[in-house]
Amino acid sequence: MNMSGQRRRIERAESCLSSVRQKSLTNTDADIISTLPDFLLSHILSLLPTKDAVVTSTLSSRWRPLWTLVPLLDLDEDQLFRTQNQTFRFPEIVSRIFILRNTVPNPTPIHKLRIRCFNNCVPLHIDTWVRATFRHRVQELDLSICTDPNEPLGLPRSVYFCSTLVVLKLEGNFNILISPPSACEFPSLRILELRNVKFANSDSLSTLLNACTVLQDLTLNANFTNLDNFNLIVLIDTLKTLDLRVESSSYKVHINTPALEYFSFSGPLGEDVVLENLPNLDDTLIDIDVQHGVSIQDYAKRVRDFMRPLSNIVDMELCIEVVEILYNASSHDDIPMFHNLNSLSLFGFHYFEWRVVQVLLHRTPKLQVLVFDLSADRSRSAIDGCLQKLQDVPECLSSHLTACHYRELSGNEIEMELVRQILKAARVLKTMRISVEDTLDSEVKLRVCEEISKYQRSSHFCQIAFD
Amino acid sequence: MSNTSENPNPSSSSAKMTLKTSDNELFEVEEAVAMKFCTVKQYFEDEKDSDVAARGSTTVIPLPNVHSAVLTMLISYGKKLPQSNAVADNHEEEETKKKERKKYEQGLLKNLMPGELLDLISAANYLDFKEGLEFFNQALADHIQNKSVEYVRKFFGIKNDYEPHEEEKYREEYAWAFEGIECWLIGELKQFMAKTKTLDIAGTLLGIKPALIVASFSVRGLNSLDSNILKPEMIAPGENILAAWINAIGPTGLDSNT
Repeated sequence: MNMSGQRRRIERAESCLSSVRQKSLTNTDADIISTLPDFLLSHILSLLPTKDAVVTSTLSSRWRPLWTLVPLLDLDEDQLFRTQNQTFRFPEIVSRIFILRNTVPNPTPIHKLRIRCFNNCVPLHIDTWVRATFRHRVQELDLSICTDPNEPLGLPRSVYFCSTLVVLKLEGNFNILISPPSACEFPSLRILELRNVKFANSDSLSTLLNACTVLQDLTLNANFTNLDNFNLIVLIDTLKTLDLRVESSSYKVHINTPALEYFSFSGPLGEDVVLENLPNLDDTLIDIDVQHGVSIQDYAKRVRDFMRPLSNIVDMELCIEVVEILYNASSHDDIPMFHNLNSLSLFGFHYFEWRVVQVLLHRTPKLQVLVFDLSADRSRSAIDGCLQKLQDVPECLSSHLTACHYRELSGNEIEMELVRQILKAARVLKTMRISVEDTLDSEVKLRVCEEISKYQRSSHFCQIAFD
Repeated sequence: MSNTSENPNPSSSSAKMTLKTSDNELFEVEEAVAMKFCTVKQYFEDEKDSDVAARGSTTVIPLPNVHSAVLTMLISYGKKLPQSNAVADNHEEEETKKKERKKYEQGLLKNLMPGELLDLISAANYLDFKEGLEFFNQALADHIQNKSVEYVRKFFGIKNDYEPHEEEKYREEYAWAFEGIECWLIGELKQFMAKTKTLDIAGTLLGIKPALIVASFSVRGLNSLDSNILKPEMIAPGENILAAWINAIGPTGLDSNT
């Protein structure tokens, strides 16, 4: 099709659109939306918080029963209880919603229940609502609640035996008690997220995980201090993503998941952490905190052993502290080689010294993309080591790096020096992307951009992009 | 499909399909994009099963329920979606692409009239274009969320067929649902009112000599929103006036500007 033909078509389409536009403008009597079929309208209403869906019932008589056809309940206290001096409180509103929904002759069974309640949440109410919903074939349960710590919420038994549950997300303030019976079964559960929940005993979590035969995504943010020697064993064949966040280090972890593609670990590294059989692992995020009470050498060795099974990954997001821990080890040659690493993203809260990062870059020979996401206390004056020159330019920087991205640039001398050194060392760099901090003065922004554009570039085809 | 000498475009790398709309417009679409319309995909697969050899690349798939203007938009949305067979990107590339898509989506929705949005939803539903349907459904939901009943009725042209006493009774029964919205809306409105200013008409001055003449290049005529107002709505004496600029970046890029 030739160009003028295309242009003609676009022009014609535009004129058609404006005629459609005219039609809807002049024809305000055309209530097109009410002609859409029930299932489509109820699908649209399912994208709204339940309260807004309820309000639509007053639009016209066509809309009256539509909110009851929506197979999900999204009860967010923030939405339902916006101002302090409302007559109706959250539990009353929710009760009314449940009752009104059930007064219809054939109430649509609820497939998804989402409750968010952070103020004055009474466990008894949540329990009632969950039980009422679990009479049907529920597919998704999402609870995000804060209660009085002395009043824990125990999940009703019907939850542990729900054969249709696909997504279970629980978030609390250590008030949701997970106490799965040994016969508990989750034959359809694919996504499990447990954040700040309380486990009844040290076997609770294993019982729960053993019941999930087709689990694909597991997120566990847990504080194990309420239990001694907590044992986390993850031997799920179908697991694709694992997000583990811990706060204390008195735990044991054993992970053997052949299908795992993404692994994220955050927190202090315990003594007994075993990772094995991870042939499909592509992408990781490692955020290991410094651990007190362990010698620097021992901890470095622990971190090294932890990272060894991850050495085939392609994409890594790494906290700068981990790099420093590895650097502090006695021998740098023991740091694993990441032969397949294509993209490395360094994040953290303080600037690094080149000699520290250099050590890591020597172990990533094929690195092509390097991203810096360091938000640091800029009021502090430059730390000595941060401004030093790159000594022994790592091979990946000079011969493989094609893209670099510096985020949250504020224009201070440490950041500028880093950018300058990379531009000087990277001989095959294609793009250097600089994302300037939002709060920066436009004058400063301009100065920073001008200065960076003047830096010497080893790569002839390097483009610098600012955003 | 076998294409021997019939192939019109041997240099194109992807196969194309032709779709015909309700107003008899023909659209040539790349197979990868057209396959996102599951109705089209089904039709194509049904056709493939039957007599294939004779057809070549000239199959025209009729879409009697879709207008060309609507199809143009759906196709351009379909093109911006991540392709299913693309190599997995690293975080960097993913983020850039996400940002671009968001910008594109905002632009798409910006000038969309409610009638157009509804046409898009109907068409996406007919074509079984899941991603498009999801996107436009969400756009519609956004027009309902946090809005008063009156606004939604006006915006979509919904006729209120309740008797006034019926509606009154209904509102009372559902007071608990309305309460939050109205309190919040009142709060938002108060904030908004505090930011707007009103212009007062000071009057017309007579007998000024020489009379001012509106420059020939200024627009004249009726205001498009309110035909009681004549253009130019706001006017001040003088031509060739330099505009003001913010201190940070001047018009010449020099350190100082006089």
